Amino acid sequence: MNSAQPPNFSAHRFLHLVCAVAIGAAGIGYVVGLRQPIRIERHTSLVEAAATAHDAIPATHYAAITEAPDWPNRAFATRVAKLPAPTASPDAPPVADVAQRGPAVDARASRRAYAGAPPTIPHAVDARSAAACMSCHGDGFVLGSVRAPKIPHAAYANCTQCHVESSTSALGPVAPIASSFAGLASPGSGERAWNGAPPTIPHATWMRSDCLSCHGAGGAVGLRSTHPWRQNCLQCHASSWQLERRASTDASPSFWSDVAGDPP
Amino acid sequence: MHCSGLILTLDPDASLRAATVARLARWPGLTLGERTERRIAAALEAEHASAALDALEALRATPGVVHVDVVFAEVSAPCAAEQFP
Amino acid sequence: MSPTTDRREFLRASALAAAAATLHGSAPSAVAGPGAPAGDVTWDKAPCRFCGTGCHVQVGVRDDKVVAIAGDVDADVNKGLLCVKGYHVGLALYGPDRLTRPLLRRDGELQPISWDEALDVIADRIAARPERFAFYGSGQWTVPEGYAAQKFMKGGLANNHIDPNARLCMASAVTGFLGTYGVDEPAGCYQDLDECDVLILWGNNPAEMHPVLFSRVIDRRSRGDDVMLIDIGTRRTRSTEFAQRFLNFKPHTDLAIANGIAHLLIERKTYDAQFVADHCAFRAMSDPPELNGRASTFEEYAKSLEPYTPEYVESVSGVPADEIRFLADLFGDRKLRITSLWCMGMNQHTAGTAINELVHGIHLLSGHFGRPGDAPTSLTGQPSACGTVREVGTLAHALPGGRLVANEEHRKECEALWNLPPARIHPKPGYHTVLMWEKFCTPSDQGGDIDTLWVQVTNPGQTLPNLHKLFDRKAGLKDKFLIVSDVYPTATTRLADLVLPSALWVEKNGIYGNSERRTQQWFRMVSPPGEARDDCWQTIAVARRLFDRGFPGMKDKDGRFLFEVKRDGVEVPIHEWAHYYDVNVDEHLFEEYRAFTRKKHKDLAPYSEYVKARGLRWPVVQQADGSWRETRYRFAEFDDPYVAKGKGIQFYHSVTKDDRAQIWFHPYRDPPEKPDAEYPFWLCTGRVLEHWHTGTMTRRIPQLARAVPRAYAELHADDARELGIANGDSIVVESRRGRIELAAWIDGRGQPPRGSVFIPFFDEMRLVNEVTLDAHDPFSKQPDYKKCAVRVAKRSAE
Repeated sequence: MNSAQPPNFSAHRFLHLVCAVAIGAAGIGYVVGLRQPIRIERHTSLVEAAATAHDAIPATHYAAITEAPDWPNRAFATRVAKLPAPTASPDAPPVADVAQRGPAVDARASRRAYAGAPPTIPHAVDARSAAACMSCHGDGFVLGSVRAPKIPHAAYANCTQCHVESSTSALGPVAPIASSFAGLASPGSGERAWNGAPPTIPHATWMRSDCLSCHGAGGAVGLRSTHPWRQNCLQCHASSWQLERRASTDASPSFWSDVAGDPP
Repeated sequence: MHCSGLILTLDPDASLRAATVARLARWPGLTLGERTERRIAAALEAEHASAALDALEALRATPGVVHVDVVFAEVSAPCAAEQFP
Repeated sequence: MSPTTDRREFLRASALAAAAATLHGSAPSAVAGPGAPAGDVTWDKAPCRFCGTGCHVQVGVRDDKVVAIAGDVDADVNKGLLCVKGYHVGLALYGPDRLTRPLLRRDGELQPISWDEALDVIADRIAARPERFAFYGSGQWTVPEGYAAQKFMKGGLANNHIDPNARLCMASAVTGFLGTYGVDEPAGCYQDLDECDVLILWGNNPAEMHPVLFSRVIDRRSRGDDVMLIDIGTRRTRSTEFAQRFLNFKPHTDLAIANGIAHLLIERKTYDAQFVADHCAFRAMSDPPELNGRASTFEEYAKSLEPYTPEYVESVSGVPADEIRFLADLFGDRKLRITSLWCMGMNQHTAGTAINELVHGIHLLSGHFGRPGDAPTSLTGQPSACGTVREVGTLAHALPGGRLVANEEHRKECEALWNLPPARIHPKPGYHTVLMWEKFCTPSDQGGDIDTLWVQVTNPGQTLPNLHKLFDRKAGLKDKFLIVSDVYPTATTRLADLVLPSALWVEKNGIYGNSERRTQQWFRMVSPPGEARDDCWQTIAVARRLFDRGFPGMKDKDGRFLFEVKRDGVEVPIHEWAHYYDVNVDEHLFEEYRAFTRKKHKDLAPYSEYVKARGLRWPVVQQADGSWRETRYRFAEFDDPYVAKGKGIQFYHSVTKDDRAQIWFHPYRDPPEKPDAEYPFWLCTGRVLEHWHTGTMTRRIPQLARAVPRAYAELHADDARELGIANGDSIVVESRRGRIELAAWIDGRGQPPRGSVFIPFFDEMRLVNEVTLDAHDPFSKQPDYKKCAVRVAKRSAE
């Protein structure tokens, strides 16, 4: 029995392969028939550009499958090969060290017009549906160095209202847009009363109340908390009235100037 | 058109700074860029090299500005009286 | 942008980069950035510069520049949220090509001149032929800017040729409100969005155009609320993705759908007989047609609706009969709260007045009116289309406070408030927008009797329909003179003879009025660049120049300057720029204007009240304790102080003087142009989320411009395949009037049905209005940008 099996097995497998190809071809034919013509070379080059320049890899268009049957996985494989091995388990995330904070803050700033602006999206998105965003950003995930941050304001349903693509590839190349706007810089790190004291929160918390979006295990290295298992962040880290008040000029001046010693 | 890149060094007296920056911000042909505590990167545009030199003198003489360094100069551009289309 | 401006930009950027690199090289540890305290930033409130939603933003200012924006959590409109435009609104001030000096065209070139010369040029043109001067304004004018222009024209020049771009945007909403309630603007407010069970979008895509209001509805779902969203539209949009039902109708057939709903309400007797008996009357079109038509009866109304069976409506509109029945089920259920939303889809419509009145009519007939969540609500696209255009009345036929040019009593009231000699105001309405531009673009010897036209705060070279006819022709006419006040070079400044640099948004004081009757005030926070100055100052300075030359119209009946402002009994020379901000001119003009607002129960509070508030909804009425109370729901006793006790609902401006609102019947009729063999596609134009109006501001904001860098044509995939068009291909869209070349986008952001094309109008490099139709509604004079016939072809390789 053992001796007869290999040829049978391979014949069997061949049959499976033929069937799979036939079904696949029929399926693709059907799908291609439904879809509009797509210029594959353009799409492919966009995908490659995206795969080298950005973190996320766009899904294959059905029409492109026939021409490049293995490329999404291939692209993914090339990415995976480059992914650094995880340095620590989620239970013991790497400690944010000061040297890493600068690059992490710069990377954040590169996608924002000013500190506090909604970030632009560094990858292609579904042009019509906001629902797709939540499949990755609903809970967030980390795979090697690929990171989809968790949404810090989940009650807001229309993602593309505030977040737009940093460059909409479907509409062709974009020349640099000049502007003399100089936005407010990132506030950097919070203040500590003494070495070892818990730092204050250096930014407003409006729409950023889920601290773990950035500071949890899914945050950028350099911004992550050393103790993400603690749930009540504001127990130790104080927010700043001065920062929060930007959005509320009505805080009773007499009261607050007495308390804070800082007349608005 | 003559275009130069400048570093403007401001007076150490911080109380003068806001007024100085506000004045510089309104300076015709001057575009302010990044700044540190006492220095501002800026681009200066002028019709001719001589006009640029005049502007540099005027900038140096501005209260609150202690020094002006020219770190970039572009003199090859045509000197057309250009307007927007 | 021309190559030379590109090169100039590049040089400037290189110079800045070199300087910045040196800066960091020499003192890397002192970079003001990470670590710098944000404490030296001062924050103040302002309404957003863009759409008619009227969100409040907090503007962060440092060193005389805007450096950050935040949603205002104290604002009732947006509750701390903004859209991507709002978050980047501060960047609108900092495009590299801001206009900073007055420019006069000499030998074909715009050349810098002084303000003094510029004012003389304008005064010369006006003084020579005051009756041939026209002012073209905007729903982006602040209230004081519009009020000053209005007084300058109608009170000073005795000339009624003043009309705004809002004519192109919400004129049919106005006629719809007037025809139904006898008074303009919605009865409800945005709170309806928090309380409705059903939201019906009539040709409306708020997910992109009024995103903050859309979020106000759909975010309720995150809190467990069950909101049904019904999208009645001519293409699938982002809003459709959130809707339970999508009713895809053939363009222009919304009238049949509305009549189909009314037909079923009557046939099934599910209409609100008590509400109709107590508060409504019926109306039908007169012969010849007039805005107020003629009185009708319930019986005539019901008879007129008989043909509109669900099956007939399906045959006309393409919407399945069962969907019409479903809508009638909803309206027939008084327990539900139903809000209708609409904007340009119903307004930019050759039957715009009719469809507006029909949708109001369904709400009245079914009694879905006057309770929070039950409201027919029209939205506006511009930040002060309501405040400045509809309330200040900067229209060819109107005076402030809902007064009319053609009404002698109204003119007298106005002359009294302005302290003018009797009969100063001309009794004949001026030219509405389309006519004004037609006259300006027609040679003087062929009846073109407008020869100087001043444009403020808008861009007609891009937004007028049929641009070849209504704008481009000016180029060949030597005796015509176009003055444009703006902040950037635009499609309009291309043909301008005189360009005036203007202050923008928080570079000046301002007041806007949003879509829910909310009046909002802000202060100047930063200096305008170069010699840019407030539009309001520009108007007053020209008026003063005429006054100084002895032009009689610029004096009131006591010989004083029309815009005289005194402080401690001494006149402040506000016409001199150096003294313009010695006093708050906005406050002076606003207080003068307030007297008009009480004429039609649109009372505004004193200026100082608006300084404290994030806007107040009129009528704002002073209470016994001296405080000022805003009104959320008009005509409803529980909230409107002008409704008499015990009335419940009272339409106190009823055209029939009996406190009744009018339920209109209008038949469905074919549009003036439909696709045919030669031009087989429908063309619809509109906006995208990232760009606002003609993109002059948003295209200079990197985050927005990069997201949508250029206009495109949305096509259905099947149409594209038949035409051999692939995604990104360059195509030609051509009508009987003009053509446009741009890229195709298939299955992109919107999805038009077969046989139709959608093109956004923000892109000045791709002017879709070279293609559109200038046919307009007979009452509102608003053109239809949503429908015309075009053909589509792949651009042949050249």
